[in-house]
Amino acid sequence: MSDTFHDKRILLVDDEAELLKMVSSILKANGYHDLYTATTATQALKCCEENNPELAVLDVMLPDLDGFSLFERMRKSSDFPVLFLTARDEAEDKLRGLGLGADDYLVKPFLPEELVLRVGAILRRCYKTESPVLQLAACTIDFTRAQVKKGNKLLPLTATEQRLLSKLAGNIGKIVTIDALCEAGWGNASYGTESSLMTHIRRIREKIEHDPSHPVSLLTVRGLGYKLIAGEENE
Amino acid sequence: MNENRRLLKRFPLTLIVSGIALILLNLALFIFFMSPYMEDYQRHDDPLAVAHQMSDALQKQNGIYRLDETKIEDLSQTAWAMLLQNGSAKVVWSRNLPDDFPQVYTLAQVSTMSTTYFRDYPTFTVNNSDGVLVVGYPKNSFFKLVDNYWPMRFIKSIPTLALVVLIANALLLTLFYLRTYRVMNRSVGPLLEGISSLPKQQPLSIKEKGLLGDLACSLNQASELLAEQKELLNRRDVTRMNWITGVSHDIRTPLSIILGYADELKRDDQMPEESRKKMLLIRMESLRIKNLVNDLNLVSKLEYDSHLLHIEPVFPAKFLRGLIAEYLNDDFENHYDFEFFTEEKDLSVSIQGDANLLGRAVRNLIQNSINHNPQGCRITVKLRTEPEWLRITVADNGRGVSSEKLLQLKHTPHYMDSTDKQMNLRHGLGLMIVNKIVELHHGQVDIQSEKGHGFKTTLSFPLFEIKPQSKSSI
Repeated sequence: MSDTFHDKRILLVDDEAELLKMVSSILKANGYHDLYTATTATQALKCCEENNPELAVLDVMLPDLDGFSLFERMRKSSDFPVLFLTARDEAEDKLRGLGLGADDYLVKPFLPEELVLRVGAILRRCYKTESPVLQLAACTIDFTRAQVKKGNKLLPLTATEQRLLSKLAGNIGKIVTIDALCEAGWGNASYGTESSLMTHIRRIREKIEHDPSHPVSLLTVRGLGYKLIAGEENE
Repeated sequence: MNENRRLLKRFPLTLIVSGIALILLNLALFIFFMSPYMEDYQRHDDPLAVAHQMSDALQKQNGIYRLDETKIEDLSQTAWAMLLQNGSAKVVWSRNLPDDFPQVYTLAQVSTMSTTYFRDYPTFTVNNSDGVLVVGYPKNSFFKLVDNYWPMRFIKSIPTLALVVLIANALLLTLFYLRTYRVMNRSVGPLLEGISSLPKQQPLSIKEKGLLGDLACSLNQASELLAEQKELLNRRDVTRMNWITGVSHDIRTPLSIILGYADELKRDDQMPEESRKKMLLIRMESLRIKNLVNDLNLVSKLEYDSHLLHIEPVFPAKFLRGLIAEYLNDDFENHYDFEFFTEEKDLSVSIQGDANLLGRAVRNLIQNSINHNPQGCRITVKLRTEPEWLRITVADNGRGVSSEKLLQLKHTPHYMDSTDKQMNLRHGLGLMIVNKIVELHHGQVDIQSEKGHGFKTTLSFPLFEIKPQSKSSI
């Protein structure tokens, strides 16, 4: 799936030439090849016009303009996603970065794998082409049609079930906390919805599991939340 | 402030009480020194008594008067005496009578003798059946009060007068007290207030006039000095913070580059095993510097910039679940077994705090457990509430520490806090950050551990929010 994103044009902006080289090197090693670099905001804006990048990695501190202002200028002409690199770790900066509509941030010094993960995640989020069909042990979930295909049966999903499953599917194989699920299902988490969440999980299991009382796809992580396991049945 | 007023009130009062005590003391001394005279006076020094004795001792036998010397006191030895016959006022008996004294007296002379002096001799008279016995003492031996009388009106008004005098005295004392209090309050009051407001670090400007002007001046100077020092300290703090932020900022970019290339080289299959190990070491140590830089920044922020705290209602159950899920999701090798325990009723509990920082504190504890147990362990996070406390416990079943090490962890100040020149560099910033964060939330940290039996840290936060609720529900 991620193969499709390796052709994306990525603009890297940092005043440290060495850092730019390093970041390019990491991204190249991970399959991204269409890379552009700029050491000043002016260069970056020029590059935007010429190459129309699909993702920008911006340093907050630039010699001619700070990263936030640069971001605001870029947004005037296009709305590709942006990942901020910041040497400051003030919470204020982060909030400001995300408040402007930036997609993510990374505090220096960062680990190469962190950078690759974030870049991949942003690209997946922003450029996913079709709503995927998720293969589970007992069924397949078609998110565009909001239905579950189990054997020969087609089971429709309610709006809430759909929202909960999307949240779980977006974090496939990972624990999604009760709070995060409540938030996904009913907006701001209020604690009355927790029992309601359990009811919905039970109904979802009835639709997606062979044996709802012994789930293999939608697992409970006691006290914390739930986890969706992808993959076909291997019996 | 109250204390000062009390002092000011008490001081004049003490003065008045001492005044009264002085008067009483004088009275006591007077009585003490006068009492011998009083007693003497009663016994043998009373001239009138001697005159009476003499009159009693004077016996008439066969028409001749005779004095029984044994019955009279010593005093009479220096006195002269004569008996004047009733009617004629003729001397019928005498003793030691000066030679130039007449034998017959006029009524006027007798009357003078009974009240005052005769020829400068103080005289005392006793009437007996035969006449008047006149006893005269040597010149200047007694002082006689001539006008020994008072109008009855005066005697009767003595109680009223005494009362008036008493009241007048009391009034005078009160006036004296008030005046002293006012004077003291005016001159000492501002000084006392100044001294008590010095620790509050408010700027002082006491009038430098009056009796204690010099003192006021010094006090003002002290206040200025304190303000200056505070300013200086503040400036130094800001400088230190800026310095830390600046240095760590400058370290970040080069460190990113080191980490980036170290990672790339790590993947290089051609590299000899020996170099590869060194590479891994470079990467690991760089990671340590990375964490240290982050911690250092956080500590400096906690210390000097705590007003930047973002206080809001925090639901511990929510953030603890999120945090543990994060660890579980990242723990690819499944070395660590996480458990989260809480009761239904504690799920909705909230406290006022900075969610980021609280999360950081718990993360540090979990990270400690992970760092000290590379072989893997079970990490248990518990959330529970007591009537006034919310407690978050992070415990592992790993190696633990010895009791000496535990004591050291609890009581040795971190080098960032230590004023000792021999810095103790043995433990990282992790636990110190936890302490600082919990302190900022008015909470407490409790550590328990036993060698081989795991490590357990409990963070306790006061539940100000639900306090009134829990009271009403009881």
